[in-house]
Amino acid sequence: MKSNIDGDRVKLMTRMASFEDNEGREAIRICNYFRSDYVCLNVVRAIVSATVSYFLILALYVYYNIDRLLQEIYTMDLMATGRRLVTTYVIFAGAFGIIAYVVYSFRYDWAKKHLNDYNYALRELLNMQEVENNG
Amino acid sequence: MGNIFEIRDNIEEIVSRYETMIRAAVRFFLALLALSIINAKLGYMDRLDSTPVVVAVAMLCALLPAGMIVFFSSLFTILHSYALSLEAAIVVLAVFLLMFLLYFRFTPKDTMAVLLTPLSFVFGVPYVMPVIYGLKGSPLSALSVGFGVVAYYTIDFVSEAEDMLKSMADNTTVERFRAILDGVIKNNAMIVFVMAFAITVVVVSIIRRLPIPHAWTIAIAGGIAVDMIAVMILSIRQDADISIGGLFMGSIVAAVIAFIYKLFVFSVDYAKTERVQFEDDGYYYYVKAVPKIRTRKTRTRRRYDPDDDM
Repeated sequence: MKSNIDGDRVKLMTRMASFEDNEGREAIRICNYFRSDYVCLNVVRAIVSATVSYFLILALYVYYNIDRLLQEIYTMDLMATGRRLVTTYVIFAGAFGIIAYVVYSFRYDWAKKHLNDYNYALRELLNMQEVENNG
Repeated sequence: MGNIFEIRDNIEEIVSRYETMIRAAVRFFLALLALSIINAKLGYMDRLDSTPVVVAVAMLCALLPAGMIVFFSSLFTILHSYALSLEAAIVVLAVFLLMFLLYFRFTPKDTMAVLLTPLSFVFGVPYVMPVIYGLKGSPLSALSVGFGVVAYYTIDFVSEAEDMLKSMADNTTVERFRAILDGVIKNNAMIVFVMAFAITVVVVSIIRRLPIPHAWTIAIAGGIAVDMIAVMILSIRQDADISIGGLFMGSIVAAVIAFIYKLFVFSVDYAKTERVQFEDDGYYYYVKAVPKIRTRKTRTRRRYDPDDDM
């Protein structure tokens, strides 16, 4: 008995469903954003992470050296120390922002490419259905 | 050799048939193992150091993504450290927070290195980790394995810190905190392993990408050799107490494990079975797509192809 199921269409739909279940889930999630929104959002998150990390490291350093710092606090040039802390923070957070920009730009381009392939498969599927309906 | 391929084919067939169940079982046993080892090594908090708690959390981990094993292991470590002393908990929390905030947020897939590297140290086969991560990852995996080494030595130090903290009972909180942080950071053996493993990951990762015959085999052998040389040189430079006998034995075992890993994971066109559901106007489809597993006969008939080695 001849089956009504089109084998090629099932293969195509299976590949598409597999994509949706695996890397497609991430690609679709990423491509819900505009490129600039996605990259900016993740750069901001990276800078927040870097800020938390910086102050965590600073807190550990201060607590570790608390005795020495308390002794030196009256002789210390507080303005110069403050400037040094702000400069190191800007370099630290800036470096993280740049790394995040590069990483998430690549990730968006990867997702876009995969989603384009998926959309191409979707068009092919629609064509198959159209041919079947007309035939 | 033929028998090995047959055994491998049979195992792969079973794995592809029951993949969902096997993955959940692996997550369960991995969580059980990790949490039991943390309890055995630290075990300062009685509430956590009980079999029902460990089994319950491991069962939860079986149902959740693999990354949650790392989360619960970190949580157990921090809580045990807190039971030992607040200073130890602060240091451990800071180490884990910095690792996740600064690195693993970019590469969540590599998070398992924080769990597997300490486990490999516990089982005496740490030298296998840089080779495996060099094969499966990129040169950046050097950082993942490095953080795994830091995690192991942090837990190891806290596990031996009870006597030190007892002897420092009369000291100030700051002095105890300083002693713990020094113990974690100024550990020569940790520095040696971080550097040696980083070099090994990069070397293995570069060699296995080369378009040469048997690139994977050369990468494993070269990686083990580089690892041994790096550990020996760095341990002399850093004056670290690392057993040379252990290095040789560990490297031999690591080579055996790496070749078994290659045999099962890289020597075949392994792809997992897919179960997908979809529908069109006329039907609901429940499709199980089973990957074709290459048999020994087809393997021996083929001519050499550089991709064969992958």
